[in-house]
Amino acid sequence: MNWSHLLVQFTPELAVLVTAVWVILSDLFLSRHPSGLWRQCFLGLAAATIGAAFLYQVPTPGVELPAIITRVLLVSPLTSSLKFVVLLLSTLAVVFSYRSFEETERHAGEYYSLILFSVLGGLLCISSQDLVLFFISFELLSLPLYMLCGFRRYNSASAEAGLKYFVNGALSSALMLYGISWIYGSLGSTHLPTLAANYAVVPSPPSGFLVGCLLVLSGLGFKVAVAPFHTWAPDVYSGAPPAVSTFLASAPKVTIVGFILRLFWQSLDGTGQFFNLPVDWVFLFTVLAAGSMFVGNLSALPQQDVRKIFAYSGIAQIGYIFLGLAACNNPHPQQSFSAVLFYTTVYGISNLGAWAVLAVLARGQERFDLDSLRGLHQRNPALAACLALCLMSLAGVPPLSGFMGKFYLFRAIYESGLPFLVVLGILNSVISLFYYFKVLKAAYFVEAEDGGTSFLQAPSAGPALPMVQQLAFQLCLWSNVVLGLWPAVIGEVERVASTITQGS
Amino acid sequence: MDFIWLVLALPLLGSLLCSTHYRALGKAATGMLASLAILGAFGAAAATWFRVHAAGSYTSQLATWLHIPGVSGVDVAALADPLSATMLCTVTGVAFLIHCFSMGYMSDEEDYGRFFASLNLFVATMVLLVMANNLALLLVGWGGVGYASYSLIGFYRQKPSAVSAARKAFLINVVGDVAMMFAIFIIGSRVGSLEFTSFLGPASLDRMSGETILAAGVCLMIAAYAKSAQLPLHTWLPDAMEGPTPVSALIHAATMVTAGVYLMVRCAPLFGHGPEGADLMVIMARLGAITALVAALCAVAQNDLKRILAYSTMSQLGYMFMAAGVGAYGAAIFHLVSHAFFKALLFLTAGVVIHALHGEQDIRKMGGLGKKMPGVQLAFLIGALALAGIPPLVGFWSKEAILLGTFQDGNMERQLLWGVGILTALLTAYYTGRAYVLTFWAPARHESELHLPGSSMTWPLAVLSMASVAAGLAGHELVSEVQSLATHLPVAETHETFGALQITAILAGLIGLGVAYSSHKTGRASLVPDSAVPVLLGCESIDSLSKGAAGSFRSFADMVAVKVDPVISQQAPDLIQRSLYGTSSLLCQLQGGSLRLYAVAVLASSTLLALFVYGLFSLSIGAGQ
Amino acid sequence: MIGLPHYLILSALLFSLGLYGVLTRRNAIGVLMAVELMFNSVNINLMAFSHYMMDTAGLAFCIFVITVAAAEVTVGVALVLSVYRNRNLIDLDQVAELKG
Repeated sequence: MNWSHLLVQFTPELAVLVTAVWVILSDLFLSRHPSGLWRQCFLGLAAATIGAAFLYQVPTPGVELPAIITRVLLVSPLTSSLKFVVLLLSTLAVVFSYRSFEETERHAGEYYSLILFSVLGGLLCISSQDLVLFFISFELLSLPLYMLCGFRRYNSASAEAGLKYFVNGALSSALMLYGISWIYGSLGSTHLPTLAANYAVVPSPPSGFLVGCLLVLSGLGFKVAVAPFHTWAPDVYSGAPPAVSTFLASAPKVTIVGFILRLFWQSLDGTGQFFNLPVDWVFLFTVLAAGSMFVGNLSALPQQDVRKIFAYSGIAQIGYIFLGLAACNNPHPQQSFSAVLFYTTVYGISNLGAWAVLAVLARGQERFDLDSLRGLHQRNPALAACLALCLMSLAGVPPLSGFMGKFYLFRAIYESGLPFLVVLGILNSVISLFYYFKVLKAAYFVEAEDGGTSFLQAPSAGPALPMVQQLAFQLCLWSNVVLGLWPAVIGEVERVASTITQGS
Repeated sequence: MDFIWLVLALPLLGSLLCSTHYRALGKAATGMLASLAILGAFGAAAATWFRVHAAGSYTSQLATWLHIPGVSGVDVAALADPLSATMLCTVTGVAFLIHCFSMGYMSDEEDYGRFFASLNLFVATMVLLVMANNLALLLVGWGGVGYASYSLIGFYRQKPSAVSAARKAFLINVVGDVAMMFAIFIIGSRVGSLEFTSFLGPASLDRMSGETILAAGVCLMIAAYAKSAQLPLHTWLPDAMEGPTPVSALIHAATMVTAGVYLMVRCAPLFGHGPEGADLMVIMARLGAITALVAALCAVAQNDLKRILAYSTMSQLGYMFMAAGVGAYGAAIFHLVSHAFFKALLFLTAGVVIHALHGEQDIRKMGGLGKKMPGVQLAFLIGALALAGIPPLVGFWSKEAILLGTFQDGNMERQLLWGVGILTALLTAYYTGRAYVLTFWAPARHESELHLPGSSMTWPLAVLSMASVAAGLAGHELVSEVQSLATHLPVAETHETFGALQITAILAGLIGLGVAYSSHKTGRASLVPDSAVPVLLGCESIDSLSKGAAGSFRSFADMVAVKVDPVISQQAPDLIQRSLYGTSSLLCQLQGGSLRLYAVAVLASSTLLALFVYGLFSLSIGAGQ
Repeated sequence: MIGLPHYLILSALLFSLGLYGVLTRRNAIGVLMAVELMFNSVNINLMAFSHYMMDTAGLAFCIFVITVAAAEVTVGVALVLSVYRNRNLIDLDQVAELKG
């Protein structure tokens, strides 16, 4: 048993864990100064991100981890890359929440440690090789999110968002748990490879297993807000503090999509012939995807609250990802895998960038209707540019990353022999243009009436944003261009995707 | 990673910095930054040139751009060979001098950042166009050049004429872009590779049918004609004068119109393959000769200094296409390079003159500038003599190379082309002589105080003049040297080194100049009677032709807009929109805010999922079976 | 003779009761209790499977579930409390300020 290898392999998780505990202790005993706590949290997450990037770049071949660890945790190119993306998104979300709560809440330390624990849950969830660990890490991911949504305790909308998210989340957790218990009961294990092996030898698939899988899928679907499990999302996103929504809309979703890929393809398909289950998975995923896209896009149309628009757009975007998942159900899913992974990453960053603008604006305003964005390009060109590029990317305007993502996704779907789904996707992309450009119109083409209600009153006066936030905005802004044009990224994603079905 | 990428990266970076940080930098630093970026690019280009000549051609691949099944070579990769290295040096070198000139010329402008950002972008896209090793990447540069020229021609955006000129240039360029895309589709689908070295190799050319070569060749030619302002896609070039003068210099000398010639030379093996290729080359040569002559006639009838120069560019490009059409690729590129220098010189000098006269562009209202600006006069004289093809200036050698390459004993067609070339040379000498004489020697016809140029505007002129003279003095050795260095293609054989053909050409040039001078002595501003002007401006009639076509299209469009459109574009979208909004309001009502309703939705959905299984599969509780 | 199916049916009944509670209770605390019931029905499931398959993993899982359920309730009560402080009510039907 070599513990140093263990330390190296799980640097990101350990860094996040240590930072989370440190932030709590520091908040309790050392200094309650919010900037200091923010700095600790940021540095910890940044270190974890760099660690994850390093682990992805330099895999340590031939390293034997202790069996007790490998039984529950998997380290593969897929998990390393997903961890990197999740940590990057979380770091950015933390950067954007800088100074979000100083004026209204006294408990900045709790905010940061909650985010850190949630990230830790996400990381473990990505790696988990056992349903027990998965459930625990899933709860570790979720419980802080409930609290974060209700973080502004003296704001009734925030409290209501927290409670709504919690009650629905607890219900879906219970359903998922019930499903897991049935999986355990029908195949006799919670360990994913063992499950796959057991499944391979049973004469006919036990229906308990099947129902269990579907309940787990519904729990995961709830977390990513795929229709018809999306009902919580608009209320929670609009009620929660925008800084929290920024996090909620990016990192956990990437985590869960990654875990769906792992659960349904890496763990089971390697030996378990997952798509031999007597369920028409293509149809199932298509129904979920089409429902999400239509519900999300159509409901976003008449909204006046930008947060609601973003929430519904998130639901619609998950629909595209589920379209890709539908296309994964064939004997050669590599291309669909890479399309889903790439699109998820792109979605995560673009969505985060769009929300981040609201998170930063939230420091000076309470309202988030379309009028509140008026003349944003005069008040703060950088924010407006970030918003514009992220939204155009989400809408799929070439040559931005979202376009490339959709292009790869639709191509993969088409080549899986599902041209009808491509038509659905393109139709919905067209609908989505309406509301994305409605937001852009408000930000760019409508002049501010009186200098606006925002914290940046004078045009082109840019005092408010700290350097690190400016840099983060630049990162979000340029990533839309770079991911769309830099071909090496696609190559990397394809490399990662090719490892998915190679087993664990 | 090779330093050839610096040639692209530096102008791109410069453009980015100029567009975002010009306020912080201030005017002087912005211009300096932009110029330094181009200077660095020139250094890298020169280094590439030397490396190519020391170690031979090479390809530097940065990444694979797109994986398209069945089509290879869609890469981010640069091809460094004598042709592209020469072009890169010319483009960046001339562009650097123009940038330096612009620092003085544009110093009164408000939108300094936008100007230099666009200027750098212009160079960057042209560099990308030249160094691309496949058609797809070339198309990026191709379109980028079109965009950058659009933004620069329309730089004075408060001037309606500038805006419409920019739009015109852009539209005609888009014609070329579309033709280029068709060429890409044809070549990609028929050959399976877009990389020059691959689809232009003998093996893949043999695999192409005659029709494919014809179709691809025609598309490439249309693309090149639109970019290089050849008949009948030339109408944008004279109007492009609406941009600031340095922009005109850049368009005419370095970054834009040469792209078409470059493309023709780059794709030379395609045109040299089979009877279809030969047919295309004949068309290219004839159209080139016609363009050269027609544009020269137009220039004769012009009185606007910049328009004269614009038509002369068109005419010289006609020479280059003629050279490419007869297979004298080396001569075409040699003329391209030398033309870049003396045309940049002429434009910049014209810029100084116009600057000095507070924006006056009519040569009939100039005059008497020789005494006040002797240096500028000398520079213009050198440029004009080079353009007229008077030895020993560089223009003589390059034009001679083309004419010699064209002439062929016992071939009527070639001799006719040569004759057109000589006639054009005579006209060229006449109109350049006329412009020079009227601008500098004629009695002054203006009163206002001259706006004399600063040193930042004059030293680029000096460099360009010296380059024209020095290259000319190096003379004859340079001819075959550059031709063989600039292209990988064989130099066209010449029959005689210095004989009757050259003497005829020189005579033509001298006669042209003499006529210009004598008409000045007799005090006439133009030899052309007013009644003949419309005839000479015949090539501009294409403009009115296209306007007429556009008009009829417009009236058809108006009809559609009044009669058909309301149904399609208002009622149908209204219907769609109403139904969309109807559905969405229904959906939003479901989102009633009740927590328990949401819980019911979650449960019902899960149950539906489970029922989905029940429907297909009979339940069997099987613990540990 | 009581066998595995009986335990499973008991657990399914408890689970359904919990579900019924979540869906019908207007009192937030009642909903929390109903969720707790659902978690515990899962525990019965797990222990029954564990017992009849001679596999201890289920028991371990069970302990984790109890822990998680406790954490879940803590968070839930905190959130209910925060809503109560803001509005002076814990009737879930009236917590419907956010909608659309």
